[in-house]
Amino acid sequence: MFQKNVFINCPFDDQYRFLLQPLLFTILYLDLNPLISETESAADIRINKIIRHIRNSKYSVHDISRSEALLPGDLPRFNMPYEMGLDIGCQSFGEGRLKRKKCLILDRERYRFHKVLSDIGGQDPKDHNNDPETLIRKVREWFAPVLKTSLSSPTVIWESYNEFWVQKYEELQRGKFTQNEIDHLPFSEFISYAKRWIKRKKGR
Amino acid sequence: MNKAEKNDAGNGHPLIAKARRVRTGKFIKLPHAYTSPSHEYYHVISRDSRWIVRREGAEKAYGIYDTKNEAIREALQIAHTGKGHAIYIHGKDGKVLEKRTFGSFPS
Repeated sequence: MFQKNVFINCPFDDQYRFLLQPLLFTILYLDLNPLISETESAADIRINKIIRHIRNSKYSVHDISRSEALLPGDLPRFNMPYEMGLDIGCQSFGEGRLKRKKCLILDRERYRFHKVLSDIGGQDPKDHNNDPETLIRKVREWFAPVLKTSLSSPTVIWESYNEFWVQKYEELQRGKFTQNEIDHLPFSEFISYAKRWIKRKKGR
Repeated sequence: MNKAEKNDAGNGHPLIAKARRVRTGKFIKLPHAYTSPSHEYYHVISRDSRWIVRREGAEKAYGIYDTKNEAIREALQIAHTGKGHAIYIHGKDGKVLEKRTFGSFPS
Protein backbone atom coordinates (compact mmCIF):
# COMPACT_ATOMS: atom_id res chain seq x y z
CA MET A 1 0.00 0.00 0.00
CA PHE A 2 3.05 2.32 0.20
CA GLN A 3 2.38 3.42 -3.41
CA LYS A 4 -1.19 4.50 -2.55
CA ASN A 5 -0.77 5.94 0.94
CA VAL A 6 -0.91 9.69 1.53
CA PHE A 7 0.09 11.02 4.94
CA ILE A 8 -2.08 14.04 5.83
CA ASN A 9 -0.42 16.56 8.14
CA CYS A 10 -2.95 19.19 9.20
CA PRO A 11 -5.06 20.25 12.22
CA PHE A 12 -8.14 18.19 13.12
CA ASP A 13 -10.11 20.96 14.82
CA ASP A 14 -13.50 22.38 13.81
CA GLN A 15 -11.97 25.48 12.24
CA TYR A 16 -10.09 23.35 9.70
CA ARG A 17 -12.81 20.73 9.11
CA PHE A 18 -14.21 22.57 6.04
CA LEU A 19 -10.81 22.12 4.32
CA LEU A 20 -9.85 18.69 5.62
CA GLN A 21 -13.06 17.07 4.37
CA PRO A 22 -12.58 18.11 0.70
CA LEU A 23 -8.88 17.22 1.00
CA LEU A 24 -9.73 13.68 2.16
CA PHE A 25 -12.43 13.38 -0.52
CA THR A 26 -9.99 14.41 -3.28
CA ILE A 27 -7.34 11.93 -2.12
CA LEU A 28 -9.95 9.15 -2.16
CA TYR A 29 -11.31 10.25 -5.54
CA LEU A 30 -7.80 9.90 -6.97
CA ASP A 31 -7.82 6.24 -5.78
CA LEU A 32 -5.31 6.97 -3.03
CA ASN A 33 -5.48 6.13 0.66
CA PRO A 34 -5.31 8.99 3.21
CA LEU A 35 -3.55 8.29 6.53
CA ILE A 36 -4.40 10.62 9.40
CA SER A 37 -3.37 10.22 13.01
CA GLU A 38 -6.92 10.98 14.20
CA THR A 39 -8.15 7.59 12.98
CA GLU A 40 -5.63 5.54 14.98
CA SER A 41 -5.97 3.94 18.40
CA ALA A 42 -5.84 6.46 21.26
CA ALA A 43 -3.59 4.11 23.24
CA ASP A 44 -0.67 4.67 20.89
CA ILE A 45 1.79 7.52 21.42
CA ARG A 46 0.98 10.22 18.86
CA ILE A 47 4.48 10.72 17.51
CA ASN A 48 4.86 6.96 16.95
CA LYS A 49 1.70 6.98 14.84
CA ILE A 50 2.98 9.89 12.82
CA ILE A 51 6.37 8.27 12.20
CA ARG A 52 4.60 5.05 11.16
CA HIS A 53 2.41 6.99 8.71
CA ILE A 54 5.41 8.85 7.28
CA ARG A 55 7.33 5.60 6.80
CA ASN A 56 4.34 3.90 5.12
CA SER A 57 3.35 6.71 2.73
CA LYS A 58 4.81 7.48 -0.67
CA TYR A 59 2.99 10.81 -0.70
CA SER A 60 2.24 13.42 1.92
CA VAL A 61 0.21 16.62 2.11
CA HIS A 62 1.33 19.22 4.64
CA ASP A 63 -1.02 22.13 5.25
CA ILE A 64 0.93 24.75 7.18
CA SER A 65 -1.76 27.43 6.93
CA ARG A 66 -2.69 27.00 10.62
CA SER A 67 0.86 27.20 11.99
CA GLU A 68 0.07 30.29 14.01
CA ALA A 69 -1.01 31.29 17.51
CA LEU A 70 -4.64 30.55 18.36
CA LEU A 71 -4.81 33.56 20.71
CA PRO A 72 -2.82 36.82 20.74
CA GLY A 73 0.32 36.34 22.87
CA ASP A 74 0.30 32.53 22.54
CA LEU A 75 3.12 30.62 20.87
CA PRO A 76 2.31 29.42 17.35
CA ARG A 77 1.31 25.81 16.71
CA PHE A 78 4.49 23.94 15.77
CA ASN A 79 3.01 20.51 15.01
CA MET A 80 2.58 20.97 11.26
CA PRO A 81 6.09 22.35 10.47
CA TYR A 82 7.58 19.75 12.87
CA GLU A 83 5.86 16.84 11.11
CA MET A 84 6.72 18.29 7.71
CA GLY A 85 10.40 18.38 8.79
CA LEU A 86 10.20 14.72 9.86
CA ASP A 87 8.74 13.78 6.48
CA ILE A 88 11.31 15.69 4.43
CA GLY A 89 14.05 14.25 6.66
CA CYS A 90 12.72 10.74 6.05
CA GLN A 91 12.96 11.30 2.30
CA SER A 92 16.49 12.75 2.60
CA PHE A 93 18.01 10.25 5.04
CA GLY A 94 15.84 7.20 4.32
CA GLU A 95 16.82 4.39 2.00
CA GLY A 96 15.11 2.33 -0.70
CA ARG A 97 11.48 3.26 -1.33
CA LEU A 98 11.69 6.19 1.11
CA LYS A 99 13.86 8.00 -1.47
CA ARG A 100 10.82 8.05 -3.80
CA LYS A 101 8.63 9.95 -1.33
CA LYS A 102 7.01 13.15 -2.59
CA CYS A 103 5.27 15.87 -0.65
CA LEU A 104 2.82 18.66 -1.37
CA ILE A 105 2.89 21.73 0.86
CA LEU A 106 -0.25 23.83 1.16
CA ASP A 107 -0.67 27.27 2.65
CA ARG A 108 -3.37 29.90 2.43
CA GLU A 109 -1.11 32.34 0.53
CA ARG A 110 1.66 31.19 -1.75
CA TYR A 111 4.79 32.83 -0.28
CA ARG A 112 3.50 33.65 3.22
CA PHE A 113 5.72 31.10 4.94
CA HIS A 114 8.93 32.03 3.12
CA LYS A 115 9.31 35.00 5.46
CA VAL A 116 9.62 32.82 8.58
CA LEU A 117 10.75 29.46 7.16
CA SER A 118 13.10 30.38 4.34
CA ASP A 119 14.55 26.83 4.29
CA ILE A 120 11.47 25.65 2.36
CA GLY A 121 12.37 28.04 -0.47
CA GLY A 122 12.74 25.25 -3.04
CA GLN A 123 9.55 23.42 -2.07
CA ASP A 124 7.03 25.65 -3.94
CA PRO A 125 3.99 25.57 -1.61
CA LYS A 126 0.56 25.77 -3.25
CA ASP A 127 -2.01 28.28 -2.00
CA HIS A 128 -5.61 27.25 -1.28
CA ASN A 129 -6.79 30.67 -0.13
CA ASN A 130 -8.93 28.97 2.58
CA ASP A 131 -11.32 27.90 -0.16
CA PRO A 132 -12.37 24.22 -0.50
CA GLU A 133 -12.85 24.43 -4.28
CA THR A 134 -9.38 25.95 -4.75
CA LEU A 135 -7.89 23.32 -2.45
CA ILE A 136 -9.40 20.51 -4.56
CA ARG A 137 -8.03 22.10 -7.74
CA LYS A 138 -4.52 22.57 -6.29
CA VAL A 139 -4.31 19.05 -4.87
CA ARG A 140 -5.53 17.47 -8.11
CA GLU A 141 -3.14 19.63 -10.20
CA TRP A 142 -0.19 18.58 -8.05
CA PHE A 143 -1.02 14.87 -8.25
CA ALA A 144 -1.65 14.83 -12.04
CA PRO A 145 2.03 14.79 -13.16
CA VAL A 146 3.14 12.87 -10.04
CA LEU A 147 0.76 9.93 -10.61
CA LYS A 148 1.35 9.94 -14.39
CA THR A 149 -2.16 8.75 -15.14
CA SER A 150 -5.33 10.37 -16.44
CA LEU A 151 -7.32 11.85 -13.58
CA SER A 152 -10.84 13.28 -13.32
CA SER A 153 -10.91 17.03 -13.84
CA PRO A 154 -10.92 19.36 -10.81
CA THR A 155 -14.46 20.41 -11.79
CA VAL A 156 -15.69 16.81 -11.75
CA ILE A 157 -14.18 16.23 -8.31
CA TRP A 158 -15.61 19.47 -6.90
CA GLU A 159 -19.11 18.80 -8.27
CA SER A 160 -18.91 15.20 -7.04
CA TYR A 161 -17.97 16.47 -3.59
CA ASN A 162 -21.11 18.63 -3.55
CA GLU A 163 -23.28 15.70 -4.63
CA PHE A 164 -21.64 13.47 -2.04
CA TRP A 165 -22.85 15.81 0.73
CA VAL A 166 -26.44 15.41 -0.42
CA GLN A 167 -26.21 11.64 -0.24
CA LYS A 168 -24.44 11.74 3.12
CA TYR A 169 -27.01 14.07 4.69
CA GLU A 170 -29.94 12.06 3.37
CA GLU A 171 -28.52 8.76 4.62
CA LEU A 172 -27.52 10.04 8.03
CA GLN A 173 -30.77 11.92 8.59
CA ARG A 174 -32.66 8.71 7.85
CA GLY A 175 -30.46 7.12 10.53
CA LYS A 176 -31.66 9.78 13.05
CA PHE A 177 -28.39 11.73 13.12
CA THR A 178 -28.86 15.39 14.08
CA GLN A 179 -27.39 18.22 12.00
CA ASN A 180 -24.70 18.76 14.63
CA GLU A 181 -23.80 15.06 14.68
CA ILE A 182 -23.52 15.00 10.88
CA ASP A 183 -21.34 18.13 10.89
CA HIS A 184 -19.03 16.61 13.53
CA LEU A 185 -18.81 13.06 12.25
CA PRO A 186 -15.39 11.55 13.11
CA PHE A 187 -13.00 11.66 10.17
CA SER A 188 -12.73 7.86 10.12
CA GLU A 189 -16.48 7.68 9.45
CA PHE A 190 -16.26 10.47 6.91
CA ILE A 191 -13.60 8.45 5.05
CA SER A 192 -15.77 5.31 5.13
CA TYR A 193 -18.78 7.20 3.71
CA ALA A 194 -16.69 8.89 1.03
CA LYS A 195 -15.03 5.60 0.01
CA ARG A 196 -18.40 3.87 -0.38
CA TRP A 197 -19.93 6.79 -2.28
CA ILE A 198 -17.00 7.12 -4.70
CA LYS A 199 -17.00 3.38 -5.33
CA ARG A 200 -20.70 3.52 -6.22
CA LYS A 201 -20.28 6.62 -8.38
CA LYS A 202 -17.45 5.10 -10.34
CA GLY A 203 -19.51 1.89 -10.72
CA ARG A 204 -17.08 -0.47 -9.06
CA MET B 1 -30.11 -13.39 -8.35
CA ASN B 2 -33.05 -15.84 -8.19
CA LYS B 3 -35.78 -16.25 -10.83
CA ALA B 4 -38.33 -14.01 -9.08
CA GLU B 5 -35.81 -11.19 -8.75
CA LYS B 6 -34.89 -11.52 -12.41
CA ASN B 7 -38.54 -11.14 -13.46
CA ASP B 8 -39.07 -8.23 -11.08
CA ALA B 9 -35.96 -6.42 -12.29
CA GLY B 10 -36.97 -6.89 -15.90
CA ASN B 11 -40.26 -5.03 -15.44
CA GLY B 12 -38.83 -1.71 -14.31
CA HIS B 13 -36.56 1.05 -15.46
CA PRO B 14 -32.97 -0.10 -16.22
CA LEU B 15 -31.64 1.97 -13.32
CA ILE B 16 -34.14 0.41 -10.92
CA ALA B 17 -33.12 -3.01 -12.17
CA LYS B 18 -29.48 -2.12 -11.59
CA ALA B 19 -30.29 -0.84 -8.11
CA ARG B 20 -32.06 -4.09 -7.25
CA ARG B 21 -29.09 -6.06 -8.42
CA VAL B 22 -26.89 -3.91 -6.22
CA ARG B 23 -29.21 -4.47 -3.24
CA THR B 24 -28.86 -8.23 -3.53
CA GLY B 25 -25.09 -7.90 -3.40
CA LYS B 26 -22.65 -6.04 -1.22
CA PHE B 27 -24.41 -2.69 -0.78
CA ILE B 28 -27.64 -2.18 1.08
CA LYS B 29 -28.13 1.57 0.65
CA LEU B 30 -29.18 2.71 -2.80
CA PRO B 31 -27.93 5.85 -4.52
CA HIS B 32 -30.96 8.14 -4.44
CA ALA B 33 -30.72 8.75 -8.18
CA TYR B 34 -31.86 5.16 -8.62
CA THR B 35 -34.97 5.38 -6.44
CA SER B 36 -37.22 6.86 -9.09
CA PRO B 37 -36.42 7.48 -12.74
CA SER B 38 -39.06 10.25 -12.95
CA HIS B 39 -37.44 12.41 -10.25
CA GLU B 40 -34.68 14.83 -11.09
CA TYR B 41 -32.11 16.38 -8.79
CA TYR B 42 -30.70 19.83 -9.34
CA HIS B 43 -27.76 21.36 -7.52
CA VAL B 44 -26.88 25.02 -7.08
CA ILE B 45 -23.08 24.93 -6.72
CA SER B 46 -20.31 27.54 -6.63
CA ARG B 47 -17.73 27.19 -9.38
CA ASP B 48 -14.82 29.47 -10.30
CA SER B 49 -16.26 32.39 -8.28
CA ARG B 50 -19.62 32.05 -10.08
CA TRP B 51 -22.63 29.80 -9.55
CA ILE B 52 -23.99 26.97 -11.65
CA VAL B 53 -27.21 24.97 -11.82
CA ARG B 54 -26.46 21.35 -12.57
CA ARG B 55 -28.76 18.39 -13.01
CA GLU B 56 -27.38 15.32 -11.29
CA GLY B 57 -25.90 12.93 -13.82
CA ALA B 58 -25.70 15.56 -16.58
CA GLU B 59 -22.41 16.11 -18.39
CA LYS B 60 -22.63 19.90 -18.40
CA ALA B 61 -24.07 22.60 -16.19
CA TYR B 62 -27.59 23.78 -17.04
CA GLY B 63 -26.41 27.37 -16.71
CA ILE B 64 -23.71 29.61 -15.23
CA TYR B 65 -24.65 32.72 -13.24
CA ASP B 66 -22.83 35.65 -11.65
CA THR B 67 -24.72 35.45 -8.36
CA LYS B 68 -26.13 32.69 -6.21
CA ASN B 69 -29.57 34.32 -6.23
CA GLU B 70 -29.71 34.22 -10.03
CA ALA B 71 -28.79 30.52 -9.97
CA ILE B 72 -31.45 29.75 -7.33
CA ARG B 73 -34.09 31.68 -9.31
CA GLU B 74 -33.27 29.65 -12.43
CA ALA B 75 -33.33 26.36 -10.50
CA LEU B 76 -36.75 27.24 -9.06
CA GLN B 77 -38.11 27.94 -12.53
CA ILE B 78 -36.91 24.54 -13.72
CA ALA B 79 -38.47 22.85 -10.69
CA HIS B 80 -41.88 24.42 -11.24
CA THR B 81 -42.06 23.02 -14.77
CA GLY B 82 -41.30 19.42 -13.75
CA LYS B 83 -43.35 16.69 -12.11
CA GLY B 84 -40.97 15.74 -9.33
CA HIS B 85 -37.81 17.69 -8.72
CA ALA B 86 -35.56 18.38 -5.76
CA ILE B 87 -33.21 21.31 -5.54
CA TYR B 88 -30.17 21.25 -3.28
CA ILE B 89 -28.60 24.62 -2.58
CA HIS B 90 -24.95 24.24 -1.58
CA GLY B 91 -22.65 26.57 0.33
CA LYS B 92 -19.16 27.62 -0.75
CA ASP B 93 -17.87 24.68 1.33
CA GLY B 94 -19.89 22.19 -0.72
CA LYS B 95 -22.31 21.29 2.08
CA VAL B 96 -26.09 21.37 1.64
CA LEU B 97 -27.63 24.55 3.04
CA GLU B 98 -31.16 23.97 1.84
CA LYS B 99 -33.30 21.36 0.15
CA ARG B 100 -36.50 22.19 -1.71
CA THR B 101 -38.83 19.62 -3.19
CA PHE B 102 -41.53 19.99 -5.81
CA GLY B 103 -44.39 17.96 -7.31
CA SER B 104 -44.41 14.27 -6.44
CA PHE B 105 -40.95 14.33 -4.87
CA PRO B 106 -41.15 13.07 -1.27
CA SER B 107 -40.12 15.83 1.17
